[in-house]
Amino acid sequence: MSGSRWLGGLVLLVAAAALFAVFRPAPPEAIPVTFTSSTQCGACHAKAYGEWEHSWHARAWTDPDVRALSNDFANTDCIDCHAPRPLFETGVAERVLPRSARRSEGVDCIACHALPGPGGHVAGTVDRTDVACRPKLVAELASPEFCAPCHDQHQTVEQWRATRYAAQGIGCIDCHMPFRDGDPVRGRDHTLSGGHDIELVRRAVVLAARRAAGRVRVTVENVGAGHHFPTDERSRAADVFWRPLEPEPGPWRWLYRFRSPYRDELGVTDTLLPAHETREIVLEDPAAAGALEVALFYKLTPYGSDPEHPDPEREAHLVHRVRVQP
Amino acid sequence: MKLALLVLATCLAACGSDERVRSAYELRAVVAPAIEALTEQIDGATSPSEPGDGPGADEAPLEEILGPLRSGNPDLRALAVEDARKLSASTVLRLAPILSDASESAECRSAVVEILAERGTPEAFEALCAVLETASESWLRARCAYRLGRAGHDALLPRLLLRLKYEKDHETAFWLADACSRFDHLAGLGALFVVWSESEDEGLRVRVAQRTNELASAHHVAGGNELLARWKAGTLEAPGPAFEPSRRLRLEAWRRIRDLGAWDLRTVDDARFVLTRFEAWIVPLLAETLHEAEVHVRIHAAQCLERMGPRAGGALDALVDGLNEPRVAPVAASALGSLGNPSAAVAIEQRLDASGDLELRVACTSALTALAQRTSLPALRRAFDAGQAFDLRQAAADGLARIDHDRGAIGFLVACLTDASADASAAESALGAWLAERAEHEALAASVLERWRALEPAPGSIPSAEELERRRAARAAIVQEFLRGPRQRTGDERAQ
Repeated sequence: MSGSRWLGGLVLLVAAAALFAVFRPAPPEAIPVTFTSSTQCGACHAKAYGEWEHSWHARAWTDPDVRALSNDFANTDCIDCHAPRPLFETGVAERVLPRSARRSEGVDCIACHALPGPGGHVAGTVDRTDVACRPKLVAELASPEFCAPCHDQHQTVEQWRATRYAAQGIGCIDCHMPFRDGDPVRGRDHTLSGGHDIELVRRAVVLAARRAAGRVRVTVENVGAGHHFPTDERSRAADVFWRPLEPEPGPWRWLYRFRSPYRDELGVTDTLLPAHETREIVLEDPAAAGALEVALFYKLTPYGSDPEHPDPEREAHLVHRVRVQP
Repeated sequence: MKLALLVLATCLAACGSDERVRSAYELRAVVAPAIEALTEQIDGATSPSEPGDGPGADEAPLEEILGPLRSGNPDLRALAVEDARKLSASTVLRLAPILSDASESAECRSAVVEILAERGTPEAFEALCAVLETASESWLRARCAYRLGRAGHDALLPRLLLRLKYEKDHETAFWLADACSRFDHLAGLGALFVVWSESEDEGLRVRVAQRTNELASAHHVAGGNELLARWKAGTLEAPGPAFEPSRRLRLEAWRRIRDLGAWDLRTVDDARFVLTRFEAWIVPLLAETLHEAEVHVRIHAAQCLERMGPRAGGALDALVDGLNEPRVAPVAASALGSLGNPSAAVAIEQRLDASGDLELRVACTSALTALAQRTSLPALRRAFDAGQAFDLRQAAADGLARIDHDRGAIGFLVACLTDASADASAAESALGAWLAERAEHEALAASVLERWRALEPAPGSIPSAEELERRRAARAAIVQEFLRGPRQRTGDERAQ
């Protein structure tokens, strides 16, 4: 067969494909669905649903800590963010509002994806009408402003805006909803990892300590968080502790706390560590002359059972530890 | 063609009735005009020299009283306070920084509190309120609360009430509660109970008991418990003429209502806290706000009425009307349930039946459960049987169980305790309430309730998710066991 025949055949094939693409019958439109529960989403989106189901967003209403801290939501102020109405209904970057239905599903699929109006559409990354949820491509779904109604109540998005990441277009979902296995084709992870993921916390900061001029200089650098470390007023705290190692490791001694005060909390200074910044803490203690260990601990709730004798190993998560020689 | 008709029908169903209702419900600017009108009235009523700007050019320089004020001699300090009365308001205000200067003696700072409170200008009160809200020394906050309560200036109430939300010092909390009560506002009663039960200061506890008894006596009720219960129920009669808020207080109230539209939840939370702790005079203002064009403001106004509960009884008609505004309707329904007036039940039942909005239907169902009217049983049964959504069924089951001890509904709630897709916490609460109600009339239910309550976690402890799961499974077993045996007998009793 000559080359021209091959070429002719190829042209015909391409032309046929093009004609098919243009004139193929449109897929049948799916019947719109009324969303009454996020469990409906699991039927088709098992992977994302399975990730979300075990996420802290899913537990926003049911988590025992939240129930206890909110007095079983008798403190109704908490409901707005722990069982929000669909974000696209109340408005991206607008005030969040509480819902009456599906509260046990917390911050669920419907809260983030449901679009208002008739037709049962959801916000997604493609436009389709042939599937039950009739997704629409909505770019705002991936924007930090979408997280703002709840998370900027604690200035997290505002903190992000001041970082280099914001200028580079690196937003919330790049760290908290990364592509599965780094592959965009596999979609984004709906586990929504945050402060509960200690590995993520470890990547956010670097701890170092050295002796200089007879003192121990401890530094904590925010190298990975796209917001202050820690973020989220009231709830989170990070503490630097140290202990002499000789003749044997003693009890941990508190040195410094990263935290912002809660609302009208008096006598607490805001010590959160902004992104890209380093905080130096000087340790001056005769007991620190020998070999010692410095550690950074992260706490999801700032209070300990015994403020006079903190036990970070039991009540906090170890982030990093370093040794300092005499 | 069929598809087009289907889409058209869906669109009409989704926006039909609610859209028609929306156009009938009046929305307008409510808050801004009210603030504007009151501001004009207050500005018009205040002459430029008010309030009491004091002597003027021939006054003694401030420095002359600073020495005696800082003296360790109480007589000299008293003279300085006396001399300060001759100073102009603006000069007196220059003493305010002393309040936050920790290097000054406590006696000197206390004297400045007296001087500013006595002067009574808005600026002086502002300085004292700022100290009340920010001073780290609790004795100083207590002093300010005490003096502000005796200032006779009701426009301070919002600041005093809000401080009740955050104050941790017992002495200060006592004076805040006392201050509010001097303006016929009893929102501090809860704080008095907390101080009485928690304080280790016997003298303070005695003062709390005395003040509570004084208030109870003034309201012609037997004691503190009854006073608090009747205040919450909105059945307390004023000891004298009904409290009439000043224009300044009403202006402050409208400003708090405006805050309901803030983006920042903290501002909204604080506004809700203050507004819900005003007495009944706030209810007409909040009811009017249900027509505010700004959606967040009107929704949060409805929330305020919901949180006031029976004390917001005057908003009944406005809330029933609010059932016709799609954005407000779910909160209006919840508020009507919270008000506890059975006359709202019919309107709620009608909305429950007519609406296709799950949010509204769940809220209506919960409201009917709260109102607990047997006449609502058919509507609750329809919601339970509708199968629209699991949590609608659960809300309806709660009502059917509480009002009718419906066996099927109770069985459904028991299943909810261990069903991952259910609101297990709500089911637990509903079954607990049902058992408690039964226990009042039935010895066996009382013993079951005892077993149920024995599974409560220790006070202050937080159970793990696994512990919660185990507790709910155990409670499900307890109720199932109860249902298997004695329920049959109860069914026979009901048949008789």
